[in-house]
Amino acid sequence: MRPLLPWLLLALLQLTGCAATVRLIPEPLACNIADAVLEQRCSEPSTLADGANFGDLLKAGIDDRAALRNCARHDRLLADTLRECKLATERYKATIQQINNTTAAKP
Amino acid sequence: MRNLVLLIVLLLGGAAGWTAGGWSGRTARADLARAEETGKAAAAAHAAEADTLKAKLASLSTDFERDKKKLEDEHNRQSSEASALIASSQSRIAELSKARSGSQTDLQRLRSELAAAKTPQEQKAITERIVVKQVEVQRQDGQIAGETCLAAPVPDRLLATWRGVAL
Repeated sequence: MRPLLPWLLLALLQLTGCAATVRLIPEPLACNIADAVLEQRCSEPSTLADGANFGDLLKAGIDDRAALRNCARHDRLLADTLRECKLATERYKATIQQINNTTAAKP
Repeated sequence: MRNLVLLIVLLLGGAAGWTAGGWSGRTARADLARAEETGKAAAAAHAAEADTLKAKLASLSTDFERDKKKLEDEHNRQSSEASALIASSQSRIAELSKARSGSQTDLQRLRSELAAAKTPQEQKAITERIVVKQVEVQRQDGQIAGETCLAAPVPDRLLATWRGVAL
Protein backbone atom coordinates (compact mmCIF):
# COMPACT_ATOMS: atom_id res chain seq x y z
CA MET A 1 0.00 0.00 0.00
CA ARG A 2 2.75 2.38 1.01
CA PRO A 3 4.63 2.41 -2.33
CA LEU A 4 1.37 3.26 -4.06
CA LEU A 5 0.80 6.40 -2.02
CA PRO A 6 3.15 8.70 -3.98
CA TRP A 7 1.69 7.51 -7.28
CA LEU A 8 -1.82 8.03 -6.00
CA LEU A 9 -0.98 11.55 -4.88
CA LEU A 10 0.61 12.19 -8.26
CA ALA A 11 -2.49 10.91 -10.04
CA LEU A 12 -4.76 13.06 -7.87
CA LEU A 13 -2.56 16.03 -8.67
CA GLN A 14 -3.57 15.67 -12.32
CA LEU A 15 -7.15 16.49 -11.33
CA THR A 16 -6.14 20.07 -10.71
CA GLY A 17 -6.02 20.40 -14.47
CA CYS A 18 -9.82 20.18 -14.45
CA ALA A 19 -10.18 23.13 -12.08
CA ALA A 20 -10.59 25.73 -14.78
CA THR A 21 -13.16 24.54 -17.31
CA VAL A 22 -13.57 26.89 -20.23
CA ARG A 23 -16.52 26.42 -22.57
CA LEU A 24 -15.06 27.55 -25.82
CA ILE A 25 -17.85 26.20 -28.01
CA PRO A 26 -21.28 27.53 -27.01
CA GLU A 27 -24.42 25.51 -27.65
CA PRO A 28 -26.23 26.09 -30.92
CA LEU A 29 -29.32 28.28 -30.73
CA ALA A 30 -32.43 26.10 -30.34
CA CYS A 31 -35.53 26.86 -32.39
CA ASN A 32 -38.17 25.34 -30.17
CA ILE A 33 -41.50 24.87 -31.92
CA ALA A 34 -44.32 23.14 -30.06
CA ASP A 35 -45.03 19.60 -31.24
CA ALA A 36 -48.73 20.46 -31.54
CA VAL A 37 -47.88 23.17 -34.07
CA LEU A 38 -45.74 20.81 -36.13
CA GLU A 39 -48.35 18.07 -36.05
CA GLN A 40 -51.21 20.28 -37.21
CA ARG A 41 -52.26 19.63 -40.79
CA CYS A 42 -54.63 21.38 -43.16
CA SER A 43 -58.07 19.77 -43.37
CA GLU A 44 -59.12 17.80 -46.38
CA PRO A 45 -61.86 19.46 -48.48
CA SER A 46 -65.47 18.68 -47.55
CA THR A 47 -67.24 15.83 -49.27
CA LEU A 48 -70.73 15.90 -50.72
CA ALA A 49 -72.95 12.83 -50.84
CA ASP A 50 -74.87 11.86 -53.94
CA GLY A 51 -78.11 13.80 -54.12
CA ALA A 52 -76.70 16.76 -52.19
CA ASN A 53 -78.59 19.99 -52.79
CA PHE A 54 -77.28 23.51 -53.34
CA GLY A 55 -77.79 24.31 -49.67
CA ASP A 56 -75.37 21.49 -48.79
CA LEU A 57 -72.96 22.79 -51.39
CA LEU A 58 -73.11 26.25 -49.83
CA LYS A 59 -72.45 24.84 -46.34
CA ALA A 60 -69.53 22.79 -47.66
CA GLY A 61 -68.14 25.96 -49.21
CA ILE A 62 -68.38 27.74 -45.85
CA ASP A 63 -66.57 24.85 -44.13
CA ASP A 64 -63.83 24.72 -46.77
CA ARG A 65 -63.39 28.45 -46.62
CA ALA A 66 -62.93 28.31 -42.84
CA ALA A 67 -60.50 25.39 -43.18
CA LEU A 68 -58.49 27.31 -45.76
CA ARG A 69 -58.28 30.38 -43.54
CA ASN A 70 -57.20 28.20 -40.63
CA CYS A 71 -54.60 26.50 -42.81
CA ALA A 72 -53.31 29.83 -44.09
CA ARG A 73 -52.99 31.12 -40.52
CA HIS A 74 -51.02 28.02 -39.53
CA ASP A 75 -48.84 28.42 -42.58
CA ARG A 76 -48.18 32.01 -41.51
CA LEU A 77 -47.22 30.85 -38.03
CA LEU A 78 -44.69 28.36 -39.45
CA ALA A 79 -43.24 30.94 -41.82
CA ASP A 80 -43.01 33.58 -39.07
CA THR A 81 -41.40 31.07 -36.70
CA LEU A 82 -38.81 30.01 -39.24
CA ARG A 83 -38.08 33.62 -40.12
CA GLU A 84 -37.58 34.54 -36.45
CA CYS A 85 -35.33 31.52 -35.91
CA LYS A 86 -33.30 32.41 -38.99
CA LEU A 87 -32.95 36.04 -37.88
CA ALA A 88 -31.98 35.00 -34.35
CA THR A 89 -29.38 32.56 -35.70
CA GLU A 90 -27.94 35.24 -37.97
CA ARG A 91 -27.83 37.80 -35.13
CA TYR A 92 -26.19 35.25 -32.83
CA LYS A 93 -23.64 34.32 -35.48
CA ALA A 94 -22.81 38.00 -36.02
CA THR A 95 -22.41 38.51 -32.27
CA ILE A 96 -20.08 35.50 -31.98
CA GLN A 97 -18.02 36.77 -34.92
CA GLN A 98 -17.80 40.16 -33.26
CA ILE A 99 -16.68 38.59 -29.97
CA ASN A 100 -14.08 36.50 -31.79
CA ASN A 101 -12.80 39.53 -33.70
CA THR A 102 -12.59 41.61 -30.51
CA THR A 103 -10.78 38.83 -28.67
CA ALA A 104 -8.39 38.21 -31.54
CA ALA A 105 -7.56 41.92 -31.76
CA LYS A 106 -6.49 42.06 -28.12
CA PRO A 107 -2.66 41.93 -27.60
CA MET B 1 36.28 25.66 -6.07
CA ARG B 2 35.34 23.73 -9.14
CA ASN B 3 32.31 22.32 -7.41
CA LEU B 4 31.28 25.80 -6.38
CA VAL B 5 31.45 27.00 -9.99
CA LEU B 6 29.43 24.00 -11.10
CA LEU B 7 26.92 24.70 -8.38
CA ILE B 8 26.63 28.33 -9.46
CA VAL B 9 26.24 27.26 -13.12
CA LEU B 10 23.59 24.79 -12.10
CA LEU B 11 21.77 27.43 -10.06
CA LEU B 12 21.96 29.94 -12.92
CA GLY B 13 20.72 27.30 -15.34
CA GLY B 14 17.89 26.49 -12.97
CA ALA B 15 17.01 30.18 -12.61
CA ALA B 16 17.05 30.60 -16.40
CA GLY B 17 14.81 27.57 -16.82
CA TRP B 18 12.48 28.85 -14.11
CA THR B 19 12.23 32.26 -15.75
CA ALA B 20 11.68 30.79 -19.22
CA GLY B 21 9.09 28.39 -17.88
CA GLY B 22 7.37 31.18 -15.99
CA TRP B 23 7.28 33.34 -19.11
CA SER B 24 5.83 30.52 -21.14
CA GLY B 25 3.28 29.76 -18.47
CA ARG B 26 2.25 33.41 -18.28
CA THR B 27 1.44 33.41 -22.00
CA ALA B 28 -0.57 30.22 -21.57
CA ARG B 29 -2.46 31.73 -18.64
CA ALA B 30 -3.19 34.86 -20.66
CA ASP B 31 -4.46 32.72 -23.54
CA LEU B 32 -6.61 30.75 -21.15
CA ALA B 33 -8.03 33.91 -19.61
CA ARG B 34 -8.80 35.25 -23.06
CA ALA B 35 -10.47 32.00 -24.05
CA GLU B 36 -12.48 32.05 -20.86
CA GLU B 37 -13.52 35.63 -21.53
CA THR B 38 -14.58 34.69 -25.06
CA GLY B 39 -16.50 31.71 -23.76
CA LYS B 40 -18.33 33.81 -21.17
CA ALA B 41 -19.19 36.48 -23.74
CA ALA B 42 -20.43 33.81 -26.14
CA ALA B 43 -22.50 32.19 -23.40
CA ALA B 44 -24.01 35.56 -22.48
CA ALA B 45 -24.80 36.28 -26.14
CA HIS B 46 -26.36 32.83 -26.43
CA ALA B 47 -28.51 33.33 -23.34
CA ALA B 48 -29.66 36.77 -24.49
CA GLU B 49 -30.52 35.60 -28.01
CA ALA B 50 -32.22 32.46 -26.70
CA ASP B 51 -34.38 34.56 -24.36
CA THR B 52 -35.29 36.97 -27.17
CA LEU B 53 -36.16 34.12 -29.51
CA LYS B 54 -38.15 32.29 -26.85
CA ALA B 55 -40.19 35.42 -26.12
CA LYS B 56 -40.76 36.05 -29.83
CA LEU B 57 -41.88 32.48 -30.50
CA ALA B 58 -44.18 32.58 -27.48
CA SER B 59 -45.70 35.79 -28.80
CA LEU B 60 -46.24 34.23 -32.25
CA SER B 61 -47.84 31.20 -30.65
CA THR B 62 -50.16 33.35 -28.53
CA ASP B 63 -51.21 35.37 -31.59
CA PHE B 64 -51.84 32.16 -33.51
CA GLU B 65 -53.99 30.63 -30.76
CA ARG B 66 -56.00 33.88 -30.48
CA ASP B 67 -56.57 34.03 -34.25
CA LYS B 68 -57.39 30.33 -34.39
CA LYS B 69 -60.05 30.77 -31.72
CA LYS B 70 -61.41 33.82 -33.52
CA LEU B 71 -61.60 31.91 -36.84
CA GLU B 72 -63.27 28.99 -35.12
CA ASP B 73 -65.87 31.24 -33.48
CA GLU B 74 -66.46 33.04 -36.76
CA HIS B 75 -66.91 29.74 -38.61
CA ASN B 76 -69.34 28.41 -36.00
CA ARG B 77 -71.36 31.61 -36.19
CA GLN B 78 -71.36 31.63 -40.00
CA SER B 79 -72.21 27.94 -40.20
CA SER B 80 -75.16 28.09 -37.83
CA GLU B 81 -76.40 31.27 -39.52
CA ALA B 82 -76.25 29.56 -42.94
CA SER B 83 -78.06 26.48 -41.61
CA ALA B 84 -80.80 28.65 -40.14
CA LEU B 85 -81.17 30.64 -43.37
CA ILE B 86 -81.32 27.49 -45.48
CA ALA B 87 -83.84 25.92 -43.11
CA SER B 88 -86.05 28.99 -43.35
CA SER B 89 -85.93 29.18 -47.14
CA GLN B 90 -89.56 28.10 -47.60
CA SER B 91 -90.92 30.79 -45.29
CA ARG B 92 -88.60 33.31 -46.97
CA ILE B 93 -89.98 32.29 -50.37
CA ALA B 94 -93.48 32.92 -49.04
CA GLU B 95 -92.44 36.39 -47.76
CA LEU B 96 -90.74 37.26 -51.04
CA SER B 97 -93.70 36.03 -53.10
CA LYS B 98 -96.05 38.18 -51.07
CA ALA B 99 -93.79 41.21 -51.49
CA ARG B 100 -93.46 40.48 -55.20
CA SER B 101 -97.21 40.31 -55.55
CA GLY B 102 -97.44 43.73 -53.92
CA SER B 103 -94.76 45.11 -56.23
CA GLN B 104 -96.60 43.70 -59.21
CA THR B 105 -99.82 45.39 -58.09
CA ASP B 106 -97.92 48.68 -57.69
CA LEU B 107 -96.51 48.25 -61.17
CA GLN B 108 -99.95 47.74 -62.69
CA ARG B 109 -101.24 50.81 -60.86
CA LEU B 110 -98.29 52.88 -62.09
CA ARG B 111 -98.90 51.75 -65.67
CA SER B 112 -102.54 52.84 -65.36
CA GLU B 113 -101.38 56.19 -63.98
CA LEU B 114 -98.94 56.52 -66.86
CA ALA B 115 -101.72 55.94 -69.35
CA ALA B 116 -103.81 58.63 -67.66
CA ALA B 117 -100.94 61.11 -67.29
CA LYS B 118 -101.57 64.43 -69.00
CA THR B 119 -98.30 66.30 -68.98
CA PRO B 120 -94.85 65.11 -70.17
CA GLN B 121 -93.41 65.92 -66.71
CA GLU B 122 -96.03 63.72 -65.08
CA GLN B 123 -95.30 60.93 -67.58
CA LYS B 124 -91.57 61.19 -66.94
CA ALA B 125 -92.00 61.01 -63.15
CA ILE B 126 -94.27 57.95 -63.40
CA THR B 127 -91.93 56.25 -65.88
CA GLU B 128 -89.05 56.67 -63.46
CA ARG B 129 -91.11 55.10 -60.67
CA ILE B 130 -92.04 52.24 -63.00
CA VAL B 131 -88.35 51.57 -63.74
CA VAL B 132 -87.57 51.49 -60.02
CA LYS B 133 -90.46 49.11 -59.40
CA GLN B 134 -89.39 46.85 -62.28
CA VAL B 135 -85.90 46.57 -60.82
CA GLU B 136 -87.49 45.70 -57.49
CA VAL B 137 -89.58 42.95 -59.06
CA GLN B 138 -86.56 41.55 -60.91
CA ARG B 139 -84.61 41.48 -57.67
CA GLN B 140 -87.49 39.73 -55.89
CA ASP B 141 -87.69 37.16 -58.71
CA GLY B 142 -83.96 36.50 -58.39
CA GLN B 143 -84.19 36.11 -54.63
CA ILE B 144 -87.12 33.70 -54.96
CA ALA B 145 -85.20 31.67 -57.57
CA GLY B 146 -82.15 31.56 -55.28
CA GLU B 147 -84.12 30.48 -52.23
CA THR B 148 -85.90 27.81 -54.31
CA CYS B 149 -82.58 26.61 -55.66
CA LEU B 150 -81.24 25.82 -52.16
CA ALA B 151 -83.40 22.70 -51.95
CA ALA B 152 -82.67 21.61 -55.52
CA PRO B 153 -80.21 18.76 -55.95
CA VAL B 154 -76.84 19.59 -57.45
CA PRO B 155 -76.70 18.05 -60.97
CA ASP B 156 -74.55 14.91 -61.05
CA ARG B 157 -72.12 16.29 -63.63
CA LEU B 158 -71.58 19.43 -61.54
CA LEU B 159 -71.17 17.32 -58.39
CA ALA B 160 -68.54 15.19 -60.14
CA THR B 161 -66.65 18.31 -61.20
CA TRP B 162 -66.88 19.75 -57.71
CA ARG B 163 -65.48 16.59 -56.17
CA GLY B 164 -62.52 16.67 -58.53
CA VAL B 165 -59.76 14.11 -58.20
CA ALA B 166 -58.89 12.74 -54.78
CA LEU B 167 -55.14 12.74 -54.12
